Amino acid sequence: MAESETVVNATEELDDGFLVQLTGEIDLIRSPALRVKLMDLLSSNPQRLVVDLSDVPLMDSSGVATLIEVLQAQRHSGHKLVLYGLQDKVRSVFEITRLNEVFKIVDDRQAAQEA
Amino acid sequence: MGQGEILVQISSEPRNFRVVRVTAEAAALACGLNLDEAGQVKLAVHEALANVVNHGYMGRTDQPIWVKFCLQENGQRPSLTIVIEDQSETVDVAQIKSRPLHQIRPGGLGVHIIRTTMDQVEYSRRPNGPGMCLRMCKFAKEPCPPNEE
Repeated sequence: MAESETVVNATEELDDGFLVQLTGEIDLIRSPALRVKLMDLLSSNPQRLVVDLSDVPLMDSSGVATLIEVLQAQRHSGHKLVLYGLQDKVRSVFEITRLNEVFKIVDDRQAAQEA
Repeated sequence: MGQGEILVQISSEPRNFRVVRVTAEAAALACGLNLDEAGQVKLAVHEALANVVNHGYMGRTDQPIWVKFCLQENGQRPSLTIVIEDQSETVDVAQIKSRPLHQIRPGGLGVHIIRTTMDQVEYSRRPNGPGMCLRMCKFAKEPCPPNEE
């Protein structure tokens, strides 16, 4: 099975974009597949991209770097990237790198769709 | 090898990192660090290994990496020292630095994570051959309770 099939558990269409549920560890092995998947979604120019990280137990700097690329692309288009469901270990990576001040991170799906 | 030392050798295939991460966490807990501290050690070790593969070995996955854990369980403040050595092209250690965090861009995060999560971090040339050596140490925040035996 390709890494892209395993890194994204489900993709759901929203009124103004997409919600993507990720699964498993997002590390240097799987980040390239995640990048391909998310950039593919951005090609349809979504106003909002919501990423559900509740099933991601570990994210390393390569995973964070992938999300930075997506954030930059969304900002360049005047659109949003919202993250929710971060487990403690994943949240700590964002805090250590102070990217929790840069990304829009909320607690749950409803907040992500309203952010 | 001295007492309280664990040596792990892996090839630079990222799928091998999990074994080293688990060993790092177990070693940290064994020498008295708490769960949060052990998690930070685990993250730092992962980022260090990723840097070896990405920057040292330029993505090659068949090169050797040695990881030594030195557990210091005695004394007022337990600590874990980790030494990671590789055979990559030697680089100027002054060039190994994290990027300023106000620059919102991919890259350079790994070194920042290592320096933030560990108490001591030192890059040098590998003493016994070509390659690089990273020595990092984490101390327990809380001192050991007095021995009541």
